Amino acid sequence: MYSRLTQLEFLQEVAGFLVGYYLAAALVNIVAASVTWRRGRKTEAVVWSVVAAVFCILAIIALAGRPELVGRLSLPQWFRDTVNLLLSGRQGPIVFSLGSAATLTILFIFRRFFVRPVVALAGMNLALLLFGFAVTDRYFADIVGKPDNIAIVGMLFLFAYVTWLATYKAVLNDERRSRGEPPLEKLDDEEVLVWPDLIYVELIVIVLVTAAIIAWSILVQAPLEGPADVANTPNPSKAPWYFSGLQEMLLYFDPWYAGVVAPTLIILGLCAIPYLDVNKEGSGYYTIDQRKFAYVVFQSGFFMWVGLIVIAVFFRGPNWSFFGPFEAWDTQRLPNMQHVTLAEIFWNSWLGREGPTAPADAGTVSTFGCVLLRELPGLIVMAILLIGVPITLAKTCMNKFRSDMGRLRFAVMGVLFVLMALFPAKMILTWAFDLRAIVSMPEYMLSY
Amino acid sequence: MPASDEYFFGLKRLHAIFAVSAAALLATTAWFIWDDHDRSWKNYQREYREIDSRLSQWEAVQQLTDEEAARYEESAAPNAPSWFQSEYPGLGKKWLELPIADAFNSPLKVKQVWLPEITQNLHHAQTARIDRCVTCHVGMDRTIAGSGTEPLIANEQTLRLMIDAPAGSAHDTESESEDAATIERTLENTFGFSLAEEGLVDPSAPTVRWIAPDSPAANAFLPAASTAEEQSGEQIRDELSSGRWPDRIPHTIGLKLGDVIVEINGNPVGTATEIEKTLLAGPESDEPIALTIRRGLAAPHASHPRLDLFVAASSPHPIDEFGCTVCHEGQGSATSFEWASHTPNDPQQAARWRSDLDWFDNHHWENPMLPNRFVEASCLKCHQDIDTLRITETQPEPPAVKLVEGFDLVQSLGCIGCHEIGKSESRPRIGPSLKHVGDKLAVSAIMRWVENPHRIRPNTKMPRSFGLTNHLTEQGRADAERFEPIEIRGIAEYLHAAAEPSADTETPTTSSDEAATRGKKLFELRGCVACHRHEDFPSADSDFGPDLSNLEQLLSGEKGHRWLVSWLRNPRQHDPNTRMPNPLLGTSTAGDGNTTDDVADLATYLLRTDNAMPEDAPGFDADALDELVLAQLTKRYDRNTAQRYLESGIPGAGDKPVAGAEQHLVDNATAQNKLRYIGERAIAQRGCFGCHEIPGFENAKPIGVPLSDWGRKPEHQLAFDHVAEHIADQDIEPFHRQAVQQHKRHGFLMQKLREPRSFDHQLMAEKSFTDGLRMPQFDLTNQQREAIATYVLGLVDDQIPAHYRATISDRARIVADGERLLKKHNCTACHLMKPEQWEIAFESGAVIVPWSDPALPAADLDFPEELLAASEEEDADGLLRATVVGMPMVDDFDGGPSVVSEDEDPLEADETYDPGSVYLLFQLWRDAAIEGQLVRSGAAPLMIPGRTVVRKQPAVGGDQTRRLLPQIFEQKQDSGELARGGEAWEFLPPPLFRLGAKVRQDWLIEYLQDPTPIRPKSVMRMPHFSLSREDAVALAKYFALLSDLDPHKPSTARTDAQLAAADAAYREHLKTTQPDTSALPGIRLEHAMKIVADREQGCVKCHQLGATGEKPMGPNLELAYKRLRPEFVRRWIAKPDRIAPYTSMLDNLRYQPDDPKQDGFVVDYYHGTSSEQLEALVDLLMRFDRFSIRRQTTPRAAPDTAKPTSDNE
Repeated sequence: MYSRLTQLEFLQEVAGFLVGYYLAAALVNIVAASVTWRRGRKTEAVVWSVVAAVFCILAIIALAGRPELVGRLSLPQWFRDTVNLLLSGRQGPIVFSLGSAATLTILFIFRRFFVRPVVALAGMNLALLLFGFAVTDRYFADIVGKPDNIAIVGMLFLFAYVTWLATYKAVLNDERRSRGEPPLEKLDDEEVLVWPDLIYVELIVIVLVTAAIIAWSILVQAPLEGPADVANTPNPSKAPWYFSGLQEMLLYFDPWYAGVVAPTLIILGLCAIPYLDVNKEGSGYYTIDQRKFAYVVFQSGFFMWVGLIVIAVFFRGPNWSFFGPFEAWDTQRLPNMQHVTLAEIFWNSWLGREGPTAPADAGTVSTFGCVLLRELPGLIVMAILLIGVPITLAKTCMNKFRSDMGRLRFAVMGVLFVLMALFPAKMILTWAFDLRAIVSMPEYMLSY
Repeated sequence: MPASDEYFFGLKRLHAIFAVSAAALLATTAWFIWDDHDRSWKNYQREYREIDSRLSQWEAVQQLTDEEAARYEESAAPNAPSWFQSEYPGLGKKWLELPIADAFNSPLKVKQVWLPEITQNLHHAQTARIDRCVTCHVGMDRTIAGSGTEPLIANEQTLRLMIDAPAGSAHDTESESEDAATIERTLENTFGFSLAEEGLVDPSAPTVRWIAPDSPAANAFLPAASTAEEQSGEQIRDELSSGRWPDRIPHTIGLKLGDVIVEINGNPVGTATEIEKTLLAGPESDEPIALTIRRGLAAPHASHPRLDLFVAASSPHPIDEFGCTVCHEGQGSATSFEWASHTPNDPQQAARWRSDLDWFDNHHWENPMLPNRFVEASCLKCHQDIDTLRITETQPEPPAVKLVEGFDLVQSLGCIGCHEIGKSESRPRIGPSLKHVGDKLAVSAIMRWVENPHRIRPNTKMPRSFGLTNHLTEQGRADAERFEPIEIRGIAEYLHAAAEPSADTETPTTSSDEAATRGKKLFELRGCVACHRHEDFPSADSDFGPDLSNLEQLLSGEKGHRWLVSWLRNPRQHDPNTRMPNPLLGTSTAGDGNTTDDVADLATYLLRTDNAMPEDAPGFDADALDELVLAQLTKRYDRNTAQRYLESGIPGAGDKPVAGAEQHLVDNATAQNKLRYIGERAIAQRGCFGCHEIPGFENAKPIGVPLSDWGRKPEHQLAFDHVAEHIADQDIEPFHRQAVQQHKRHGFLMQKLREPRSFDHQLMAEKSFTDGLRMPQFDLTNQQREAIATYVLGLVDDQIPAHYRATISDRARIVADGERLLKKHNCTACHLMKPEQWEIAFESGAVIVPWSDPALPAADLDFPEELLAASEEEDADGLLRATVVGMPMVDDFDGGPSVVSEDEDPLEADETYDPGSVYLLFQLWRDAAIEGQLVRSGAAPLMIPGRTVVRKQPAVGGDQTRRLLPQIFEQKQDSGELARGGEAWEFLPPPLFRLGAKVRQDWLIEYLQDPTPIRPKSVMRMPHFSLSREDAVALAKYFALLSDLDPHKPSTARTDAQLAAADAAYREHLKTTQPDTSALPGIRLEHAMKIVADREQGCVKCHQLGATGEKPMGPNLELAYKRLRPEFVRRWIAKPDRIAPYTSMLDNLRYQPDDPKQDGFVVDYYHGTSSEQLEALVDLLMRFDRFSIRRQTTPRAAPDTAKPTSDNE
């Protein structure tokens, strides 16, 4: 979108956006300052006022009509280069996924520190500033400024906020519980009237959302593209954002699995949760300590889904290659296409021979036998994963679970758990070792 | 816990929040309604309506007389529609424009043109075109009242106009009478214009709303382009002969309604009062006042330019049938500026659009509007026959100059040798044939030439294929420096090996300095300079044939000399397809009686020995040769085999016969063979055979990309790669650089033409030397590149219904074919096709009209009465207008144009004159009407004051002839062969103006195929062009058509029966006047023959007739009947200078209209009036074949009587 502008023209365009953006950031801090001031946390209030002032100054710079000044409000080149180096090409998705997992683990472990409003607000300010500085990079602006992607950028901020809110409340409740107090939700446990306390509020929200959508539709034009052309596929060709996670999965799994089986399993799994859950605690209020396993598993799945969308929307460029956020989308870059199956690794690399293939005139049964023989290593691995792992878990760390849940429930939970854990594992295997499939039986359209 | 009565949220607080959010919703709703109401097209329509009503009101006032105007002013106020008069109360019709209400029958509407036939390709379907451009460009097709083509609102331009200061200005007001002082000076009564209270678009702009006829305002004029008011006589005459003349003349255009005054004498003025004050304050002197005005309006309010051609209903492209996007491209269905895919013409415009109009480059629309500079590209969609875009009689101003230039360049540069365009069945090779190159050029000469042709011949059309290393890295450059010399050497070796020996070449005679001097003279006077440039003749700059300045660098040594001599004897012997005609050179006899060989002299002159080049080929790097051979061999064989073949040759007795270039290496890989192999491969890769006939490449496929629909090539399919980085620091027009950076189709094209190989920038590391891009670099100017790009962008292959395709009329086809042939053979270099045409505007009496000789009635053509009457009418500026056709009079002193001062003295070269008031002497070549007076073409020139020349159409053709005029004049005056300056024309190739009316078609066809000398006087000779019969016929038709003759109607002389009747009548006549003479049949022509044969005064005095005439000056009369049309001969004998004003032939049949007897030339020869004698002469000459046969077979009709008296009655 911006690639056809000169640097100066681009900065001019971006300056207009930054004025509003920095003013909004300043407004958030002014609100924070006034709230903290009223609550008597005066030092904090002063800090937020200073931050607000900084954002105001940034807004003024953007407003000054000097594009070259706006160009200075950017991330240093070495930083951008480093980020690009880490996040592009073959190692990009590995760094991104493992890095996010590590970050989330740290956030989780030190959640008591990170959920403090001061820290959270500081973190948010840092994120806002980073984003503002990053937007002056035209490649970054190109990706996040695409009219399709504006909603996703907004969603990420919203996502961070609700996650923080839930964790914050859970941490507070856990602390209260350790002090022997009831959870916060118990305190205002009174019933309220549908009118006006529910309906009226809903009405207000409806009105505000309608107004916001009208304003959005005036300000941002529908992201129409060129006339559809059967002879020319757009490059990259992307699904709408809510499907792009699903589209991303197609890279790692057989279409049958990624497109049909996995979504069904996800829905069934979600439906099964109430029947699998035997933990009576943590009902009706936020907590982490009382249902750690459930929390971690659900959050991991949720983050993974968001992560897939982020990867597909922001990191996948032409030819579905992986690009850093500050990189030009170069159509010349080709992704690694040399994928192998486990059977190929086993027979060709380890044993140094061709895998068993059925002779051309073989009957149905012997062909099937040959395919089974070829895929034997993969089948064994899958059997270990789907049967062995749950049994091992039941015998070791999840002994208590098994006894609480009973055999059938544990078996279902175990299989679902393994399948879910296999998502990221398989992705990392594909990125790192070009492993396309553990079991590959294209003859019968069965692969995993 | 039971429900309490308390609300969880305070109701008051909720009310407050609800109020605020409801207000927000209301505000956003109002916002979107306003956003719709304020759409730019609605504002443009409102604005245009306002402009239109103002302009038409002013126009109406302008047409009124004074009293009417006064009454109008009085009644103007109550004219505004009131509450009761209007159909709708209050705001009137504006109600319908209010938000929401405008959904119902608003006067503001999206206007569209629906074009189901001219579809556009939207990939999934060919869909109808919907052009809504006129929604904003409302007044696109509006013309001023009473004119079909004059735009109502011109495109905005800034002009500097001079307006005369009022008579009796500041310095002499005191001496004015009392009355003058009492009348208040206003703009109206002083300058004759008034300013509007509100401007057209900007209400505060001081805008002209009324202009008094014949006032200083109406006569405001454009200042002369030159600031110098006076020029030397030499400058004036130079400019006249070079055709730059009218630039120097101020040009009256007058102020117009709607002009906005921006500056007065260079000082900016803002308001009407300021202007009034400044102008009326009284100028310091009588000098005219300079007004800078802004005329017209910017888009979208301006009318379309050239309404005679486009958009207007009467034009060939009415908007209802063609719409807009079929020509302009872009997204026609859009109703806002940014979505219509407008394309800026330069980066400044882009920046302006971006800031003012929210423009952005919507790359999703695949065919954005063509930038203005390439807009002519679309003409090609329907005008696939490019001849429909050329200048024709009905289309004197060419509609698509750039496109036609591009087409011609593509043809003349031989682009189609490599690129397929359309269904061109034949690919004419534009370069010389190399079939016999071995006889002509040494290996070293070929190498010098191929390496860089421009070094030897800076203006050669041959592109460079070697040494294009600008875009390469160090390594790539080193590779090129190593391998290119090998390829060049290889090419030369291959060409020598493949060439066939041609017919015998002759050994030249020894050369001498005198021969060279004679050769130089021949080179100029025999017309070589008409096609060839040579540094010895800098003023003749034809680029039709090769520049011959450095010929010795190519044709070195004796071999070259031999070849040149035999080439000059007969070029077609060497190359049957050459454009070079046979110059038919023979021998010359000098004054001392020695004869010299012209061919030998010319060859000696052209091959000067002073900077001859070495003939031996230089050495070469054998390792590089082997590497290159290996690289080529590995394309066909695997590496090991290739290595083996390199060392010991390819075994010839293998399973498969060796084909292609590899044949050179069969069984024997000597260095020579390797070079030939490399040469053949290089020729194949570099596509030399696209332009040259090369043995071994007769059926080779062209190497370039087909261009038939290149103009629709998706931009994302163009491999720009790293070229933008390469040109980042180059000095390129920013528009073109940005187009490359933004991956525009035209950016690719322009860069390809600028540096064809630059798309390999940073890619050669992965390619081998032999795999680089191959297009050679042409030596083009930016303008030429744009022209070619315009043509190539126009190659779109869209589906256009057949009836939209432009077809050419039979007449225009004949003209186009003729003109193509004239161009092909460069006829117009020597022959003047059309004289100059001047448009003059003058006050009565300013042009001095000569006295016209009376002539026999047969001499004069009818002149339309209505033209004569029209010439008496004054135009809006009170001036008379006339169009005169002819040439500036050739002066009798030096052969240059004749100009005299106001006192009618010839201009002195060093003195200065006011170019506006000198008299230009103009020789009419066609009858003209001046001030109601018919002026016949002929002897005495018109005297035209310089200032009256408004426009000048230059002469067509004959540049070479006109250049030689002064020299021939000088030469012939010295030898006493010419009396008047104009007669110099007679020694040069004849003008072909109205040739068709002069000569018989069958003769012309024959002559064009095999020219024979006609004019003994001529210093040049028509070369032998070896025209095919079809071409000769096409030319003959063309000439006939230009002379308004039916090309299919043969010319006829009088029949035998008619002749016999005339003869009988003459005999009757003789019986009454000369009863004593014996009147045998046939005596009429015998008597006419006496006029012809009289050696003192008759025709044979100058003309050849059979064996008579010692030193004839005119053409042979014996052959006239074959050559000339009787109608022409009649007019010619009656008054030769009516037809050729420069001729030295006198009007021998004197015409005395007052003499009742009207006796003609020596009545004793032929008894009759001048007119009767004329008829008899025409009959004699036109039936001379009959006459001579009869004379030989029958006894003389009249025995030789006594010699008649020489008295002329």
